[in-house]
Amino acid sequence: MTRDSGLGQSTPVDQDPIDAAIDAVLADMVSLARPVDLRARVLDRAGGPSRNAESGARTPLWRRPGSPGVGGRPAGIAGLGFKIAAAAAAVLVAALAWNRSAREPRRPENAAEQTAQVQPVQGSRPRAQVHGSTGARSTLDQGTSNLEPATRTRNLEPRTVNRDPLVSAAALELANQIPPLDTPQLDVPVLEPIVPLATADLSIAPIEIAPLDVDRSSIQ
Amino acid sequence: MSIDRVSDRELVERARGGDAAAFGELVERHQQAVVRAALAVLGDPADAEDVAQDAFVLAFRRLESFRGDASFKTWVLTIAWHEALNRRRSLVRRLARLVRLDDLVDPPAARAHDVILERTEHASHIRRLVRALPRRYRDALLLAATGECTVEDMAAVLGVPAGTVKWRVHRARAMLRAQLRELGYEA
Repeated sequence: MTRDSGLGQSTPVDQDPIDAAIDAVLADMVSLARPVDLRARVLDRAGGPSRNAESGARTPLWRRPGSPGVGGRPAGIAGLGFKIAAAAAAVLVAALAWNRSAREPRRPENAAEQTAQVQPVQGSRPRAQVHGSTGARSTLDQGTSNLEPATRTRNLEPRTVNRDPLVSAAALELANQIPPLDTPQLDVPVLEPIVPLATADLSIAPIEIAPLDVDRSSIQ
Repeated sequence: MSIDRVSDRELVERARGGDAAAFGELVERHQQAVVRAALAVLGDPADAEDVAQDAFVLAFRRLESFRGDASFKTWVLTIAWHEALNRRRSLVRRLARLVRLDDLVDPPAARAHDVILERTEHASHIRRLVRALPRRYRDALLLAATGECTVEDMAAVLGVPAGTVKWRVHRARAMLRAQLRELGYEA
């Protein structure tokens, strides 16, 4: 004798219909609609165990042919990550190389650049390096640069002011207007003091202050 | 000797030695239990198959670390269970962005009353109540419902004593019964 459990299934009368309904639903929730066959998929992904033919040692799975990114198989996420890392490293190296080449003085390659160079003015000291934005070594740093003669020599070389010929020419013109340090800048006549300082009377006479003659009664 | 009569332990040894067919036999023997266990966690057959496949591949890669303290079935079930839990966490996170989590986990009582009025909806209603159970009870209940595991297997998979497994299954059923009676089911 059976009873309807409420789920369209018949259950023995001695079973609580609520329990029967629960069992039916639970069985349905974990039942497989179709047969499962994972064997081929698993073995295809795992690649199968293999041994090194010469040493007999097991080859790590990630190095076996058939593993992602190995032996012609399309690279998976790991291969993609490696490519991204390699590309980032290449960009970083290129950026460093470009930055280094921008900081180093270029050798003049044509006549325009040769005319754009600042020539040291006669009688003056070599021009100090422009530091800061260019990232060049400071003068303090140069004191410790004895171990790098090439760098020190390079810093004393005339430098290209600007690679733009027009701007460089303007800068050259301005630079040529700067007089040498050991020549007087202006032709100012030297004036002799009227009274020699040694003989001048620097004493100050006492000042007498007369009392104010104010009619206090007029101030209200 | 036919490979059908070889024990799991012997197959594991052969698989360690490079016998792919031996591992394939292990997969064939236990795939149904593994898929059903994953289904108990995930509720979706396609996801369960994916997780089972991942679990077997992982087991293959870790075959050297299998000590044989438990059976191969329990071992691979445990791997699949944890894989399924990880998958469920990521699924819940994904779903939480799309729908309100409250609707998913705890359906409103008013809606439940409407559903129960229609006889053909009873099964889906009970299914919702099962899904609304606390995870520790629901997982134990559904894993027991697969019929593929002994209490000892379940204890190993869930990482709790066997007595706790029994208690959780009993408690889950009691909660379901109480909720169904509240909603109008008569014994």
